[in-house]
Amino acid sequence: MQGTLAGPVRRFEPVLPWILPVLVIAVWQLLGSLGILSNRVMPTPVQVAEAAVRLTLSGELPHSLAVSTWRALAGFLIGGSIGFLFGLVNGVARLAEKLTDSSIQMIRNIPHLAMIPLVIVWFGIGDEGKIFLVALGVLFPIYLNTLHGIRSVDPGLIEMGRVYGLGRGALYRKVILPGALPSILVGLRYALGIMWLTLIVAETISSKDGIGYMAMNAREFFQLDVVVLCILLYALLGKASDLMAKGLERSWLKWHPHFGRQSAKRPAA
Amino acid sequence: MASAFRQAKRETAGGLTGDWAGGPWTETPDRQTGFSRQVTPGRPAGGPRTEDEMGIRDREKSSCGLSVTLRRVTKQFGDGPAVLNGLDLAIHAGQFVAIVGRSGCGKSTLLRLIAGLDAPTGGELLRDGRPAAGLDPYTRVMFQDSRLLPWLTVEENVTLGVHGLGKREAKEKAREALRLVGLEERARDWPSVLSGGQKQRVALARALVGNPRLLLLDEPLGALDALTRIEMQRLIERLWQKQGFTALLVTHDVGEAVALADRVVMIERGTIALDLEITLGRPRVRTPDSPTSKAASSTGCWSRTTAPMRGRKRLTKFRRNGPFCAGRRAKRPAGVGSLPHEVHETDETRT
Repeated sequence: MQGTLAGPVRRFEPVLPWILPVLVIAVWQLLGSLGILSNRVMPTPVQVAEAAVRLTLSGELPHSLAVSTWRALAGFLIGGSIGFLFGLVNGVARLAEKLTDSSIQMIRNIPHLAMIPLVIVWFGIGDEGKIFLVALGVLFPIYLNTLHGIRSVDPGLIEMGRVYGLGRGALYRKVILPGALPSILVGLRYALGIMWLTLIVAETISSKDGIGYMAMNAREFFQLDVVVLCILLYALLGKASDLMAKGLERSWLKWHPHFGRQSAKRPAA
Repeated sequence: MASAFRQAKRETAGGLTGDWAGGPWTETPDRQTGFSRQVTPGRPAGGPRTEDEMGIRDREKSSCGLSVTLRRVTKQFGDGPAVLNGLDLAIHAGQFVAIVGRSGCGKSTLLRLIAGLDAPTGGELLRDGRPAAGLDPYTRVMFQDSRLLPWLTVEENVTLGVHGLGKREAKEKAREALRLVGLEERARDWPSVLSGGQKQRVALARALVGNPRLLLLDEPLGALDALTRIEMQRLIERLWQKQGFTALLVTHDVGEAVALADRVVMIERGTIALDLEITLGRPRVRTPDSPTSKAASSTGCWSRTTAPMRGRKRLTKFRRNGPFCAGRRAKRPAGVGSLPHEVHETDETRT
């Protein structure tokens, strides 16, 4: 377990993660302003900010963000639910596992981005294709981690549940699912990363709107500030979804010595 | 001389005040009767018993405890050798039976069969005289590891043992059970912040909150330190006396078996090698210098039943002023402590 920071440093703890990014941006701006970094290669942070303001005012940026977020979430929900359900069923039913697991493993090993040409043929360049790809990419990490989580629930606890008269439903709700939750949440975090990655690639290659499209379009007109803005947006979106997953961990895994606040104050005796 | 003094003190204490709080005193069995090797099922709890023991304790219990009978029970895993081999055992309602034996002798398997977690390969298992299959709603198991759900608070864990009650009533019962084991103030904590002994106390509360008729204890104290273990033994004994369930304790600690049980059953090679009544009065508190520990450490004299114990060997020495006597003082007639108690030994030990 990580130790806590020493006295004087501790006061600045919330600021610590931001020191490095701020420093990088400052140096970047300095290099750009001094002319060491050519504007043709890399726009300065101020130029990027200007682009952000311009695109926000024109409505292009909010629209692209909304479209991309919608695709990401829809794909995530579909793929995540399918993966979760398969994981759940295969985790407890041997027969289901025998029937489906090896097929799922085979499909899993196909790089889903390799299917982009096929997806364009099937769905065109609308929302459906992207949602399909995101769902496909998200499905496997959720599936694998749910399955693994359920498998790794202490059999002793399940036995205890049976002795204490828990029915099948109660056993799922009170023992199996909570026991699998840490692993499921790891899958969720991983899947969120894959979600953005898949979407960006899909939008960059074939699209008529969204952040990926905005970046590709800007490249055509050599608007490097917009391209860099899009790249920074990816970083922020990724960070946002990671924060979300962390929030879930903190509220669902309160009992876990690694995540909970209560037990952080009172370590195990 | 010392013993005469103690005797006098005990009688004075018992006769005048009904208080047994004498100093440590030894009990040397002057008779060695009731040598029995019980392997016949259905034999009633043998050995002479004092009136008061019969009167008070058994009356309370008979309505509550569950009786268990095993007839020629065999258990085999796959094609391997039989873990239990034609085992006969009758446990009476309200009895506290300890099962001892080397690791791998089949004692935990026996417990799992009685719990209904496994089914016997052959033979018959009866609960209250009726053939039993599967889990029994009146049976609770306490495991070696506490098996608390880490994602539920202490109180919610205890509530798992309650059935058929509303939320609020269940919570109240759980609180009450936690009070019994002295952990009421930890109700809202996560199990991960409790010590090993506290976890086992919570597990005990969870086992008892549903008023079980049969409590199966699978080496529940094996992982605890010596002091906590003695504390837990007292607690289990006290709650058993209070609630009157049938208790079956699997342990490798013979001292623990003698300190807690009415009857100690030793299993060897899948059958009962020894069945011994312990009719010493309660509460039995082991003194640090007690030969109980010797008896315990010389497990040899039990597991190697052929090894002779010559002469009148003192098996046990108990002190009767444990902190938990208080509750029973009032119930028990004065001077009970001075009644003679027998320690039963086997034919083998006598030769």
